[in-house]
Amino acid sequence: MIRYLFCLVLCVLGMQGCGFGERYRATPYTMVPESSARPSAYDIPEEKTPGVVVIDNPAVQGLSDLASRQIQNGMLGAAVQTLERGLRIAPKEAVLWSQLASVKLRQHQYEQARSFAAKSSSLTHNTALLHRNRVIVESAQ
Amino acid sequence: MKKIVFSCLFLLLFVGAFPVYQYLQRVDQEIITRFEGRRWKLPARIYARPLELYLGKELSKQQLDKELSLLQYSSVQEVRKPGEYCSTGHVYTIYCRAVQHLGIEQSPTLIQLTLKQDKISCLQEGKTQKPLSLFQLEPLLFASIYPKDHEDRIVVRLQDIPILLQQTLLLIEDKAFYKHRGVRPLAIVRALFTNLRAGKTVQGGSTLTQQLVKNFFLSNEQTFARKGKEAIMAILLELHYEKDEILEVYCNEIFLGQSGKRAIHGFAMASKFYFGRNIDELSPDQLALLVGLAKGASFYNPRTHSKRAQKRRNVILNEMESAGLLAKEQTLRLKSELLGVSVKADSGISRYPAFVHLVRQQLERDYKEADLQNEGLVVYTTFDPIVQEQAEASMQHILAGLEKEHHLENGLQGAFVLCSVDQGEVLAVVGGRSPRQSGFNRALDMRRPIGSIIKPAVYLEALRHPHLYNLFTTVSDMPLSVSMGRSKWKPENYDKHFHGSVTLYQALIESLNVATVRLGLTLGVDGVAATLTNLGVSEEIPRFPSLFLGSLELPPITILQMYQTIAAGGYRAPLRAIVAVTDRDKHVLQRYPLTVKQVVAPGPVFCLKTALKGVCDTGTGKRIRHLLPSNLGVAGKTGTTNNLRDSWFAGFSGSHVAVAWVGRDDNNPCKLTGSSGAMRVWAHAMAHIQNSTLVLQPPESIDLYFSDFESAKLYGGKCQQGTLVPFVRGGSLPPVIPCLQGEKGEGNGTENRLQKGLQQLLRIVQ
Repeated sequence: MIRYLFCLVLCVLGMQGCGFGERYRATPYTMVPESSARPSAYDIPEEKTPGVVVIDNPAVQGLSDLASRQIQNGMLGAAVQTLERGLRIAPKEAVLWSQLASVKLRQHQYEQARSFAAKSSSLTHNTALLHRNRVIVESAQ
Repeated sequence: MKKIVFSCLFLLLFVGAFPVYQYLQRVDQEIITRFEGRRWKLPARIYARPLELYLGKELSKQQLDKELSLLQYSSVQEVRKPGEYCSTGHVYTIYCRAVQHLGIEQSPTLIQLTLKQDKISCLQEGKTQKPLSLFQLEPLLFASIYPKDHEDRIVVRLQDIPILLQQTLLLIEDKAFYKHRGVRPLAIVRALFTNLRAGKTVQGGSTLTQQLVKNFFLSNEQTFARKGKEAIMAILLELHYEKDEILEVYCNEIFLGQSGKRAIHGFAMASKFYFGRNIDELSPDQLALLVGLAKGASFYNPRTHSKRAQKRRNVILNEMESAGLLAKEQTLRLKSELLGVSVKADSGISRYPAFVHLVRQQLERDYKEADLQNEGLVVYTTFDPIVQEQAEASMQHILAGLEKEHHLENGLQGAFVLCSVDQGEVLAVVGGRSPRQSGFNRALDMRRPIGSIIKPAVYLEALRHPHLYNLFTTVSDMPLSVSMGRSKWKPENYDKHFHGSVTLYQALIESLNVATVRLGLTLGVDGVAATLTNLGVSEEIPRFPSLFLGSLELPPITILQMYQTIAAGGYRAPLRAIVAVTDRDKHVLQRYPLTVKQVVAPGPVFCLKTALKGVCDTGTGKRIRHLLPSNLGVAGKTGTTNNLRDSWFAGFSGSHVAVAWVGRDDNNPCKLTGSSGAMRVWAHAMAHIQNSTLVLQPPESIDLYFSDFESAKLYGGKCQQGTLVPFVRGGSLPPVIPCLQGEKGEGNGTENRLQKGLQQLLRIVQ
């Protein structure tokens, strides 16, 4: 019986050609969407142009810019407040989390700096932002 | 002889003058000490979050109306001053009040906003039509912590008190205020004669300074000694202080009303108390009413003696007209106006006692009770009144419905808590079915077995070891006996059946008890307890196998923390109700900044979140799909304890995490499961607040594979059929089966048949 089955398997293999090995090795689904008809349970964020970090919401962009100025002027407490305000509007905005990490780094709150940078990285695929977060994490070690 | 008499008289005068001098000095010191400090005991004020307005913000007309109503904005035909708005359809013109808190300053501004499909589609400055990118309404004052004497006041500077109010006050109470030196002897004599002739008190001779002295330092006792002291103190007060300073203190000190234990002092507080508006927003007739109350706040109480109060107001309006403060026509019109006081007195007890309880718990860690009661602290919180009101309404509506629908005895109780996913900011706390009562707060203080809502911790502990466990790992759901000392514990499933070999995914979404206990025993109680602690359970965790089925007793707020950590992808943000505390001059004393800590690796949490979404899609919580809008994806877990005593649901959308409990205070069965009770409350509340759908965004450590749920296997090659299932990269993977329909689901019929046959063959061979 087993011998018969084995022959049958060989026949099928012959019909299928060399694709057998590949078919029995699962391939992870790639992160970049290939078509718009993807299953909707998972969000695949689009890669933005490397080096350019854009915030879609003008109100949040305004707060991000304000926080940047506050950081430059050494008003770190105010910057934290501004960024928290922004996060209440856009809690998944990776740029704000990254800025918060940067403030915490300046405030020598290294554990928080690492956590905020990691949180930011978990929300983005933007290579520039990921790089910035990596630098913050390394600096906060 | 004459010389001796004079000497004796002089000596007597000197000896007599010394105690008088000492008395005056003591009184003088008393005045200076009290007046210099001029620090009233001020209650702590607790503010909600300010409503942010920006383009694209999700906001319904009902929600905006609710916010404006809570902030006591008046709906008018034509907007003229701060605190007024008008709406025509979905276009709002709002004259916003000034905002000044935590470094944000906005002057009173006229804005226009348009709502379209429950979103702000246009936001601009009203006068210039200049677009506004972001604007804030002032935060709602929703609670105060009062001093022991229950005096409530808002202290204002003289320049912030309307000139018309000052002029009217002096006109009625003390025309010569800026001329006298504290007392007017002639006025006292005149009043004495008038009163004697009338046989009762019809005229007062006290100056404003004397009235202040009486209120500030003395009692209401009607004696000559008290009157004498009042006059002396008034003169001394005027010697030391400017007229404007005295007038300012008077305006803040004067007693103008009572509500329960709460005493209303000062014109600014009275303005809020009677009209719900700032003092600078009042019309002349309203100012006249307040000035009239100075003569007797109880006697002329506009809520209980409206006719009397109206008569008094009109007398004052007439006086104002006579003094040239009002035109004749204006006076006539104002006299015909209704009093305009709010129907119900604000008792000073917060409408939201359950949330205040949480704020006080957090405040008491850092501040003494006396400071909270007396120092005028200003507390800015994360409280969202719109979410809170909706959660309260949902609780009441659903519990009443459940009692009727299931023919249950009255007396079902409930609790509900909600926070933001990523920041852990608590937005709403419902402590029971009667949210206005400040009794037992079930959301914070109740400890009940948490049942199956503990299970995510068991499965997370497994998924934390990706080389051993993934969502397709199988576990036996066959009879199990656990030795508990001399006795044996035989856990059962809710449906009283056993389900053979099941995947972790299936066991969790179907809430299988036996499989969960077996998995927990393999992992160890300590491991599961450690995961619970990591997720934010700070309570002591008893180390028994029954822990795996939720014998642990926790309050809803702790469960909220646990699910916040899961919802945020393993980043625990300690729950916060307070953002900052300032002193009475708005200087920041303490900030409570956002903090996060990654306590679980993102990969395993992501797999868990996928399964919790499965609970709501096809598992024990699948009925939730009919209770929520179709575009609102959520994840969560149902929980039911022994004999249907507690009904739990904990879960999250893309923006909010919430926990709901339904049960009975006497611990009798509520006869509801997690999905038939608490989940209904949870879903009703979540469906009616602004919410964003749950989006599962895989972290870097996750690989998604097209898989077959039935066989718990992955499809091979580049096959794109079945369902995408997450696996931690580098961890164990389930067996692979070939693509049923060819790669990318485009294979031909012959090929499919062959592959199907091949699969069967492989199963036989295996």
